[in-house]
Amino acid sequence: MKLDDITTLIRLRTPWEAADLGFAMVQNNWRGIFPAWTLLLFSLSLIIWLLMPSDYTGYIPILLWWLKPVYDRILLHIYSRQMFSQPLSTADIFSALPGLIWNTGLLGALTWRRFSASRGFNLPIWQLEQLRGTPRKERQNLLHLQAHSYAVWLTVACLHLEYTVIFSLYALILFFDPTERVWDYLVSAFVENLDVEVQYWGSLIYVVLYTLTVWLIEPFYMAASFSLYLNRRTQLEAWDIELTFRSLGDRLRGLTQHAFGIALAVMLALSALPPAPVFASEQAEQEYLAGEALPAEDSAEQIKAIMQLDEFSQVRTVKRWMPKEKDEDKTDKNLFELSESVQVLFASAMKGMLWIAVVVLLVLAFVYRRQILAMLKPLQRKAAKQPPPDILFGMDIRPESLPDDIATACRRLWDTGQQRDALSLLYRAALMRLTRHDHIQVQDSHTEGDILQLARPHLAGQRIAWLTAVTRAWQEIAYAHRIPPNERIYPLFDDWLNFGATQATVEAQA
Amino acid sequence: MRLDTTYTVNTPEGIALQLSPAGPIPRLLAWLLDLLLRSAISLLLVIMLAFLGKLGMGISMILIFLLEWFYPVYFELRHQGQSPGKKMLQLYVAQTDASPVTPSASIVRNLLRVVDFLPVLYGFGFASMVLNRRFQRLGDLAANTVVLHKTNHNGHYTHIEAEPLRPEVTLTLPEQQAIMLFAQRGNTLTDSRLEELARMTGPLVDKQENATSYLQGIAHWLTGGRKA
Repeated sequence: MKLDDITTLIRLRTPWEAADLGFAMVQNNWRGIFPAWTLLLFSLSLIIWLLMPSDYTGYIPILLWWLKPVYDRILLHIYSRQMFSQPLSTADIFSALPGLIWNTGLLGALTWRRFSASRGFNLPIWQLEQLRGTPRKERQNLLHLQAHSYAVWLTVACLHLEYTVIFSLYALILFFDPTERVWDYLVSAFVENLDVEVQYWGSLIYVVLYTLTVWLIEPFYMAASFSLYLNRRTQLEAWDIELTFRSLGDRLRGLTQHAFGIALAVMLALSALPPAPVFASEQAEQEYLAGEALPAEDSAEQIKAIMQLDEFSQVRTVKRWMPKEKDEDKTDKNLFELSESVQVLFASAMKGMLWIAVVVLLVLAFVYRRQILAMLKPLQRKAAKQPPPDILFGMDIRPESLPDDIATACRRLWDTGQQRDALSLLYRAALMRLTRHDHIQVQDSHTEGDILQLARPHLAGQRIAWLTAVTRAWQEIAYAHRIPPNERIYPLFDDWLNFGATQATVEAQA
Repeated sequence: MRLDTTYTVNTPEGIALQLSPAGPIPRLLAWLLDLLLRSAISLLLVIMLAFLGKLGMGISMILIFLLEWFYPVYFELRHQGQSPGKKMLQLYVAQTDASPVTPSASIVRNLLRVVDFLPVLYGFGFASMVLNRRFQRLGDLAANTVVLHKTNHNGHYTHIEAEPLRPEVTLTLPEQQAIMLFAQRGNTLTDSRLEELARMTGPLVDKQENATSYLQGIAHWLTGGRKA
């Protein structure tokens, strides 16, 4: 066993985390486990089914249950190799079978140790440590010290998982059987003798479903047991520390070999310089910590004194209602009659209240019908209908503040050399469109880029292209103080009409 | 990358949280404990309300209905995601990013127990857990929640006796942690094993007579001990 090859992360886990790691092991390595495992279990099940006299087929699941220690040995063999990066092929597993049967205490496990509630946890001692007799007993006692109850509960939990799986499989058959024959069979299996054919099919289904259950649960049980065992050994032998210490040793060895040459040169160079303090000086530490720790009594006194300052000892008077003491001495001998009349009273009061509640609910439902209907509608964006803002980024975007013919106004400004104003006007107009007519919720906190992102889902291809171009031109002139060339800008002015056109006019044009 | 059950969540503050989802075994046991408790409460309710006759039956039925459906919701929201059974097994329910479970998520994950319970006794829930790396059942997937192990930090802190010593080389964080664990878990290991472990650090202890106490001294220094 080489600890460095281990495929799971070794750390000190709680036992339940270790059990979960077992599940993760099966999830992760199922390709290496299930082919061989399926072949073995189902062929064994088939052989037993064929060999069993037909009168006793109902006992096959008990036999399959009894043979679980055999399956555990095979599974543990697979896991122990996988754990240390030695994946096995199906052929390897089959050729290991005789060894697993003869050298792992199988006889005891199938007889007097069959009812051990921690058999999965104990198995690695037999199979991997190969201990027998007194050493095995001592070893097992040592490992059991802090893990036995968990191993037992693990077995109990897996037993319940088996119930879950087999009942679920039966229930699935019931659900998907349209003829109700299965239900009739299940009922009659308990109350009367069945004819031979029905019994045959009944026990066949039972065997198949039980085999499926074992097939599913046993790998998880064994993996969780093995993981629990490894966790206990990690705890006992500090494997986690060993791994880190080994890598620390390797690192330092590499460091010394590598550093020797450099150190020599540096030492020669530095030998002339005075030694500089490398670590934090004592004074720096004293800023944070008192020079010496006070004895416990003194510090308790100091704390007490501080706690008596006004800031820490404020008293408040709170007034609240408390129930008064009631004397309940009234013993009525007609207690029964009383309780009956109380019942009637209570019942009629409840009835009245319920009717009132129904009426009130109906009235409320009528009054709030609009809100209720709105709630029933599929999820809507609860975009609050805020009035579109008038001023964004200090720019007035009310429609009144803009000239009627924006394209012409912009062009005039641009041609008279006021390029910045021209693009500002165009951008303002675009914002006005977006907020007023396309109902895009622009806020003062949005940047130009944000507005583009917001508008993208709402605008058709040409319009978003125009908006992108205008935004870029505006950013260039506003932030970079670069004037874009005329041939890029004129088309933008011309296309304003397309962008600014309302839906109706667009449709009319098309 | 070595196999582990944990996954990491990065908080906006840049802290990497290691979360350890709980698998079917502890969850099944926790559920069984909760079932026992709920059954006991239901039985008590039925007995106590029996003297009211049919009315009592009705009331107890309503109360049992509420208990069955809102027992987990109540505990998840008011007791840090821990129903009594989960508390005993040190599990808790949280959102997948480890934030506290929200009311809507709690209701969703508990209403969907109906689906997980199918065909009987949580068959689909178990199948979902086995197929999922975070062991989430269908209700968890819908509500974006996960059941996590509550790790008990500073579980094995013991006072270190050795004189504090400053190491001569810079140690990485995992190495520092290993050395501290080495000192803190010293009382669970034999002396010879301790010495064997300490010798594995190679050059760090080459010149030391007693490697164990040297490393324990470093551990004391790392945990904040300074020479008096």
